[in-house]
Amino acid sequence: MDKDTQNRYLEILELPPGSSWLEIARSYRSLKQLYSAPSIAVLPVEDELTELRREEIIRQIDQAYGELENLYASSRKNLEKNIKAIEQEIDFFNGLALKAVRKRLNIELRDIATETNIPLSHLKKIENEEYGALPLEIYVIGYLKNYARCLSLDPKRVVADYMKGYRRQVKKASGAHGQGGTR
Amino acid sequence: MRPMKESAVGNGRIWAVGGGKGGVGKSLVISSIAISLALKGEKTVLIDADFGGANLHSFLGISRPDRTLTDFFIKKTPLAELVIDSSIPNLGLVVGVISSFTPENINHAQKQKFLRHIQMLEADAILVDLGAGASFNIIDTYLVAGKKLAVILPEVTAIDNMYSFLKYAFFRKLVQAFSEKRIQYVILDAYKEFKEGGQGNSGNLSQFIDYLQSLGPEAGQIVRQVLSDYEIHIIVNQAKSKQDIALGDSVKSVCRKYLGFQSRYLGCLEHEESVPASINSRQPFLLSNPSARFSEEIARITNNLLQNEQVRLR
Repeated sequence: MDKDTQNRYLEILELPPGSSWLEIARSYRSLKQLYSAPSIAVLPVEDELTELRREEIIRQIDQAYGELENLYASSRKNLEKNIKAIEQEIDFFNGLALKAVRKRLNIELRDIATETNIPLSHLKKIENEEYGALPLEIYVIGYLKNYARCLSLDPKRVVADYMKGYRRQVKKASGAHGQGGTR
Repeated sequence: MRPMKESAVGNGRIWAVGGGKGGVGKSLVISSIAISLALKGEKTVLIDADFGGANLHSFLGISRPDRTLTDFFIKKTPLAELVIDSSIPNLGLVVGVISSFTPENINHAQKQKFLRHIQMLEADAILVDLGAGASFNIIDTYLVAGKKLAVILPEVTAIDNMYSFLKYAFFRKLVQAFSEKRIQYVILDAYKEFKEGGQGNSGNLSQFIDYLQSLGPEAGQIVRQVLSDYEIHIIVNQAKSKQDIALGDSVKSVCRKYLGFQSRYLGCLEHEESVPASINSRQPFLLSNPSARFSEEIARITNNLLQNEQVRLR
């Protein structure tokens, strides 16, 4: 698919060029709902707009999504192959490694935040390994699982790796206190 | 009341709010944005061009002033001399017409003069409250603005009014653009043919625009130019639910797919109990409640306007 066609489909989904798959899926869902179910945004123009036009809009949205899905699916299949390769390449999934994978997959942290409802600030801290600033372990594990899923990585492995580093650091911090430092 | 120097600068500084329906909160929103700008250090002039009844001065806590827009139209006082201090640093106000002076009394020449004077005001930002309605005077002033704002409530009547207003304004801009190229007949004939020839539903502006573009390269060029200039900035007022918040994006979509033009969703203002009380006691809410939700949302909206950004929900 050439860039112009791709951008045209993105425009129908009301997205700028270079949008990620997450954005595409989200936009499709909300637009599909907007034009399929009653909405006060659409109601005022319904009188002058025939059923035909509404159906045409839905058809356009479906088509744009379908075409982009195919496009992304084939590159996603490649991605999945790549991800398997990535998972083997990477020794240890610490914050830096996760960030690197994310960037390679061209996914914005903001998208992960919106998709998972995890606050952007926490995601940043996870990637920057600011262990001390993160919430309770149980939350961090939950965040990691969701983060991993967004990147199509194996959640178990990501959690296992990352928490090793996390626990090591936390132990160190409490160990220092235990030596009689100020509290 | 030191009169401001007159100087010629561009229209990008002019932000106008219109939108058809009364009571949606245009005055509250535009006066709050004006205060927000002034607090940021931008030299701001707020003009009450609501000929249905001036009330912006109340939002700023100013009681009946001695100079109003009536002086501009009747005594021919230069607009710059009508800007009064609002007691908020950096914010000047031109008080609207208080007497029973109606829009019909303003002729074409006076309107042109008004627009000229607005553009010559010396300020970083000029904010204009156009009030309710969709008369030619209102629409022409709206079209001159560098940033066109529209405020809606999450109510079908308010949205309906906004669409009508924006459609008239858009169509008028198209006609003006064709007139400037001395081919006004092209668009008027096209519209007639479009309606009668069953080329599409006559109400669907988006389809008419497609039809216009198909008429030829010059028509296409004019339409594309108008489309790139016509961008509406949407604000949702009195949002109470997640759906209301998402309304900005929905309306954006309808504007694009049904009416044919681009818009930006600047943000929404959640329903806040204490705002009406502030209005009634003539105290600018932003000044007495700087950390309230409403004030933060206004600051965000103002920032989006300054940075050309918008809300991204999806």
